[in-house]
Amino acid sequence: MISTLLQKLILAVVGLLLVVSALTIYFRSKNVTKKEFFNIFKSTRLVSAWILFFVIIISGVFGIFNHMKAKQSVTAVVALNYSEASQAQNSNGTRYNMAEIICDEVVGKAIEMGALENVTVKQLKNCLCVYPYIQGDVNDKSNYLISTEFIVEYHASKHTDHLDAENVITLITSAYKDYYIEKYTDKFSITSKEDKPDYSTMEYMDTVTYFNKEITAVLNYLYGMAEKGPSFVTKNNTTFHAIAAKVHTFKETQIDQNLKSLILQHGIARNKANYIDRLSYQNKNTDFDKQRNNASFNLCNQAIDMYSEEMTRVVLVPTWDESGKYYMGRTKVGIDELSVMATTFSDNVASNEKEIMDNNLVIGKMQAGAENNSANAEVDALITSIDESIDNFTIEAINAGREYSNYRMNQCIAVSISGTSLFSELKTIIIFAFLSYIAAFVFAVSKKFPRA
Amino acid sequence: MKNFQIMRYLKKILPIIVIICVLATYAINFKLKNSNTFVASEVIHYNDPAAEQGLTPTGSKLDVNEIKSSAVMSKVVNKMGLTGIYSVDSLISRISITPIPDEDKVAQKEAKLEEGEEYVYEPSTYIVSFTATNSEGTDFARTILDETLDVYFAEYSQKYVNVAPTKNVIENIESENYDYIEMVEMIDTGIDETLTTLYQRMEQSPYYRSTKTGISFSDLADEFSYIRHVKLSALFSKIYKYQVTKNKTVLISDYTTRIDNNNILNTKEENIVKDTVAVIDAYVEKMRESGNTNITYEYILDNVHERNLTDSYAPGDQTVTYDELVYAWRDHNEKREHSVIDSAYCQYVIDTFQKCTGACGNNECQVSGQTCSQLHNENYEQIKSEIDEELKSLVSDLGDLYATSMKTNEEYNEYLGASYISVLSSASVKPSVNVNLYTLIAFFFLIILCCGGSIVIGRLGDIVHYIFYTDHLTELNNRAYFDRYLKSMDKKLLDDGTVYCMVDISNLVAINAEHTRQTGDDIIKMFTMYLKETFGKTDAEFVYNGSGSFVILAKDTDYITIEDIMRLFGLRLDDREDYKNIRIEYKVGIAETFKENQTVRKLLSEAIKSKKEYASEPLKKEAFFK
Repeated sequence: MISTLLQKLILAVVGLLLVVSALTIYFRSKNVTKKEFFNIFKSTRLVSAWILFFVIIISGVFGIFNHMKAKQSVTAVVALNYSEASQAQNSNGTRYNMAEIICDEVVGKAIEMGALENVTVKQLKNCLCVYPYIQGDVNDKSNYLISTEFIVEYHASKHTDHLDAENVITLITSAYKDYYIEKYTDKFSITSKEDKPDYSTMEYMDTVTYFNKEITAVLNYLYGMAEKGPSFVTKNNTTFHAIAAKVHTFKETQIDQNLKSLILQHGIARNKANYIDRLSYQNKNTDFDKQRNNASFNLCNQAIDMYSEEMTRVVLVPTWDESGKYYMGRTKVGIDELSVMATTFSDNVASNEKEIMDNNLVIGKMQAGAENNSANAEVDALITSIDESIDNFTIEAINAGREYSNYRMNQCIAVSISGTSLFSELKTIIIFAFLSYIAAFVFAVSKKFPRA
Repeated sequence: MKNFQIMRYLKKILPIIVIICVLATYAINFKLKNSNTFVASEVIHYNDPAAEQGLTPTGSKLDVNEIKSSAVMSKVVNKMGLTGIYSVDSLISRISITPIPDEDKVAQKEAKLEEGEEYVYEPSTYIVSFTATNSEGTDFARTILDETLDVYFAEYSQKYVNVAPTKNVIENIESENYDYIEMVEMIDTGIDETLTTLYQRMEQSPYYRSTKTGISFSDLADEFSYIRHVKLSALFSKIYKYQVTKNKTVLISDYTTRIDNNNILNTKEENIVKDTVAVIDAYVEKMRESGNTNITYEYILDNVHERNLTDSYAPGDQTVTYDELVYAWRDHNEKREHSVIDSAYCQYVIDTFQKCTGACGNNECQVSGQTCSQLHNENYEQIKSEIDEELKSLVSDLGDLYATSMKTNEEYNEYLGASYISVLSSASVKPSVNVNLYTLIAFFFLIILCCGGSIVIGRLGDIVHYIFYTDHLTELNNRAYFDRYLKSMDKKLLDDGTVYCMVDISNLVAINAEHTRQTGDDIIKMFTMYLKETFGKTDAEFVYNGSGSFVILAKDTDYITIEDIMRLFGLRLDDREDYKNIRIEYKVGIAETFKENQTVRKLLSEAIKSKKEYASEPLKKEAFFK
């Protein structure tokens, strides 16, 4: 940087003048008596035209270069205000890494956002550094600190001196904010239109299953967001809970009742024979599962039966419940666990039986149903309508989620940018002017000392 | 000897000392800066209670050195694009891990061990540091440490917390020589295992959603279930319905062998069950006989009570041997029962593929190596190719889903890592040496060393001078000093303004003889005193040459000045307070440098030549110089 170099050169010249003048005085002081020594100082005018001229000119030039240098350096403070930051974590619970503030992706994004020309990611990255605003001391437990404020410094290099420093740091912090929101805030994966199945060839009952899967995903997302921001109200004056309730009602009425009922009552299918075969296979398969679960259930019961009475004695033990309250508990023995296992297997058997019964019901309805084109058309129309509704719910859920993330992240990451202040620049110039005055004065004094 | 005056030794060389010290300090500062290193440190804490037992959440030994394992560091090198620039080993060697034990727990452990009780405690808090050189800078140190811990947290979680796999086991399944039914069975088993894992994770973190994929474990489970329920079951159904197989004979043989194996397993399990029942009976009998079945509740209660109240006792697996025996009985029976059901399933598969659809005239499919559909269904090949396509599509869909699962899982590992290992103090970087402080210390040390050295050398010079070159009677330089001086000045020209003056007490021998030797010495001392007094601040060196002879070597002066001084000397001698009754005769010779007298010996001889006699008479005051 030429401005930095020239600024240092001026400083070196003044420093050298001061040192040379002081040495001159020292060596020539032998040629005068003490009285003469002090008289020379007293007789030299504190303010003379040439001293003033020298100080004003050199300070002016120094000030110009100092200003040019100051304009090339800017600092920003990135503060993390979310609760996880105090545990050195990102908002999604992963470990926070400060280096990401100036990572390649962020710098690349900043260049793209600002359409910065003639600069590469590497060149710009070399001008940036990031460090904690305050850092702790690992050797002293009382001084442990999780940094939540970070200073980003930008010092222009020869490759970047054509860029406006303040603009660069604004772009970097803005890009980081976007990067952070993109990487660490909640997202919801949408099934694109290309990835959607072709409903016209899809078996009707499979469409019901597919819709159920899709809408359950939306519901899961909404419940998750509601857990994080239960009181968050969107611009449309709604909450995550309210949207979830709406989606749930839709699922119950439109998919589980209307669509499914319509298909079953008319017994319609795209390929009835194949679908019935499939259900039969499923029943066969489920029946094997049921046999396994049933066998396990019976064995658990038999094991409980065979437990010797003498070996199942229980005693009371002092213990605490989850809320820390004291009570007398009963020791657990094997039959407790076997009973729990038996219940689980029993549930599984019941679930298998229900599945078989459901499938049998569908098979029955399909076999009873006759070809009905109008019913098919009605179902197709309903499918299209439900698909659109699911898309709308998805968009509504995503928008609410984004709104929440933006609201949260704007509060999460605060950025303040500060260049070198005018006062700070003036202070530097005044200090330099004083130094140059001293140098000029000492030089003037040194000239009055006789050579020999 | 000269007085000990510190400033006398320093005055002349102080500027040189300062210059040398400043230069040396600058050199030291430069060296310190270049050899300085930056140490980035972070304090981490293992949150899992097992860590204080030196164990990981899975129960294996906790090895904190895994932080700097090559597995972790090679990932760091790749992530930071340092491949080829830094070797993994060079980075590993710069990482240090220091445990920070909890003092209370260490004291507790020592106390317990002293009492002979077992107590396991391992530190669960560590300082992890990375050292960077001066040229690499503070940023590098901090970044490497941050990246290392990032990778380690994820690795730790993957290895010790989130251990259940969601691996894609069906990758390249089509290229293997499996039959269709075997392939779909394998896919089904793979999905079943994945679903079990996903349900576990759902239970552990019900609201977890990856910010990379935007998918939760629940969504993933639904996707797998959907594929299983719709696509996989359709394939199963089609394969069964159309008896699609690559080789009927091999398929039937496989499933027959499976039945045979199940039968063998059944026999084996039956025997084990019988043995287990025998052991249970014997165990109960022995417990009964030994009175262990009649243990009073007070004893057990007291024991448990004590353990619960006195220690932070974490109850482990309390399963007793009897329970284990019963569980073993149940498990072996279950294996047996399940193998029976599996045999039934295998038989179902065999029946399905051997079944005649009714298209055969003479049950030819029963003896053929092909299924009935293969033999008689005209669309068999088309159906087979459809199944091939559907299978390919299913594997592809599952592959995508497994990839998403892996991504979600990777982030979940990072999330779990950060929850199982917390950061107590984030990365702070400090130089290993405080350069400014050490530079300041070095400067003061050098100043003290140089000044001290100058004082010691100066004082030693004083001592040597006093011993060898000082006349102890007059405290003036002696003959040896004068000889040395003459020798040193032999080939040199004297500066202008150098004046030599010689003063001899002519009747010293007579004084010694007439009065005493002491009187003679006193008169020499008096001469010394008056000479010093009259020469005052003149730049002159005094030499006592012995036998009452003085030589004064004056610089920056002239003949007249010295002559005036000697006149004053004469007056002062006449006006002496002591030995007024003694006549003192003395000679004074003065010579000044000029063209012909530019060498020391020449000037000295001129001074000797110019000697004139004077006398200080007793009781009478006379001016000698008229």
